[in-house]
Amino acid sequence: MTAAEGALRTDFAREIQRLRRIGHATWLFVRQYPIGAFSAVYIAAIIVLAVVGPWVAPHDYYRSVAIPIQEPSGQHWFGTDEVGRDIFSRIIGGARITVRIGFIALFGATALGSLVGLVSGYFGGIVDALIQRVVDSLMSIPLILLALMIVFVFGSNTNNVVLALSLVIAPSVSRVIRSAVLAERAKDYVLAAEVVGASQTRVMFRHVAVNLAPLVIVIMSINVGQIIIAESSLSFLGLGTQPPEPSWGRMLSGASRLFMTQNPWMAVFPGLALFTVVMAFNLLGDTLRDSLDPRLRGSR
Amino acid sequence: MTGYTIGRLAQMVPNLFIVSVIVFLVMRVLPGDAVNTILGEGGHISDQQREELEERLGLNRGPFEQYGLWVGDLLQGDLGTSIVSGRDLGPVFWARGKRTAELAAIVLVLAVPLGIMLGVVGAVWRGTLLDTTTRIVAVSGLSVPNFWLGTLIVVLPAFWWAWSPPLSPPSITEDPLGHFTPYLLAAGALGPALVGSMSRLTRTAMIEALSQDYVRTARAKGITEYRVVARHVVRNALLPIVTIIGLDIRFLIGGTIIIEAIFSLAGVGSMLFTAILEKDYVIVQSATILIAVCVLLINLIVDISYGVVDPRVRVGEAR
Repeated sequence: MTAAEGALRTDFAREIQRLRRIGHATWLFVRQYPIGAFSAVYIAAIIVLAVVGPWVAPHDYYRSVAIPIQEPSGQHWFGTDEVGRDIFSRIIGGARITVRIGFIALFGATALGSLVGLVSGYFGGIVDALIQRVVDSLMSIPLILLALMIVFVFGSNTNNVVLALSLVIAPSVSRVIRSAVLAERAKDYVLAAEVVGASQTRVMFRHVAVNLAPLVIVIMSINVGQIIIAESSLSFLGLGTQPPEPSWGRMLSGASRLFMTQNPWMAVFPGLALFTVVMAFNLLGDTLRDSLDPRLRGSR
Repeated sequence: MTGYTIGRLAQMVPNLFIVSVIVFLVMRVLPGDAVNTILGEGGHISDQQREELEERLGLNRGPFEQYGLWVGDLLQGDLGTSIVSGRDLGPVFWARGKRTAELAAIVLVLAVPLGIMLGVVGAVWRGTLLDTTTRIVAVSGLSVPNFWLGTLIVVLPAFWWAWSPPLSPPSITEDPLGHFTPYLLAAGALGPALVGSMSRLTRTAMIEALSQDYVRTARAKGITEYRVVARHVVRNALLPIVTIIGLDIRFLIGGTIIIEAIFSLAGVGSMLFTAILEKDYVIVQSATILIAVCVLLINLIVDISYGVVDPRVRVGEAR
């Protein structure tokens, strides 16, 4: 055996060992949190479906492919809508919008809210007081009302929906981050960093922010569901994603409502898709909260 | 207590000021022209007609002046007139507000006790199948989109029994049952989210209260477990939950925007949605301020009652 072969062999063995460790950790997680693991698998499946949607959908989801208003059958699993589009394919198409807008708005809201909360909590004083008044005010307006106004004024398209959702979710994120920052600030490591002469921005981002990472993950998992529901509500009201792009919220509104009393399946399936996805995110959120941040257990 | 209340009321002033600025900015200063919407996008309008309309609506003035006029009117109790219908908004808000308040009250009366009950059951029988069931019910309630539930509540009875809720509910004296039917159905769509959040919080608060020393003392005294839970634990656990009712009010009012439209209830929510689409900014501005006032006042009342019920958290008292 040459030296190169030997090195290759140890590399290989090390790789196998690493995979085993990951496998073992996953197994432990599954055994400890079966519901969370199941939710994670379901969410992963939906994300995959959203990515490969156009290639795996049994029918074209933009066009009429069959007789309108059919009940579920072997040919059309979820039936067809009022213009003869396949509902199952349209739900797969709608997953794209839900996943895309959901995640971008989630990152937008979390980034904005975290930044505001960090600044407000770290600087305190007049800065904090001013920011908190604005946050208070935003939080006294129903979230969906504010989102509606923003989308209506700027125009209904995907970008503005993302903008509106980020702006309306950010205040509550900033609240949680702020109180966590207040608690972190009082700790010795912050004092130590300041004594060593680190600049305020450095302490804020390199020391405090880093310690809040698990909390941020938990906050994100809690907000996903709310963002998805808000997005679908906007679409339902006709101010979200625009046709011909299929969206779960809009499949429940508009002209299709006139025909739902003939074929209730048209109302059942899009909502069921929304409900199960949001529920999976909420259950996963609970699991992450339990495993990452015991302090938040039981809170919303 | 009075000092605290006055302080909190004073705090509402800057809050409402910021709300008014935000709404004014979004609805008026940003691009989009109310005049076009009112006169119809495709219609031909002479410059003179346009000027007359702008003059009547005060749109020819600068933004600061417009804002000043609006807030000045609000402070005198004048909510303005609708651009589209030309009606004075005070009576309109009053009539519609009563319906929205009725809907919100029905949701609260039904959902809060149910949620608290589920939470208590979950905490007392923690770790059992009963607990798991209540938790699943709670997460489902929080996850179900209210407009989907509302749609099913309208669609399914129509499909099965060809029955749909009456379009305009009869008055309460004529036909009490018929009057409440649409409200109860709408409450069925709005309630589950509240039940979910109530029961989760109750469960957490109960579990914490159950581990307190006074519970051990009560048990050591030999009183029945029922009395321990009902008299000692629930009472203490309920306190933090009261605060959450205040926070949930915002979501409840937001929900009425969609749900009132689905159930054709002529409340503030459905009016707001139509007003946004018609760009009737006077309605949107004034209604948003009124909603913010309600949310802030309800939270204030909740916080004060919290102090009244629990002497430990009585704030602002002279020490």
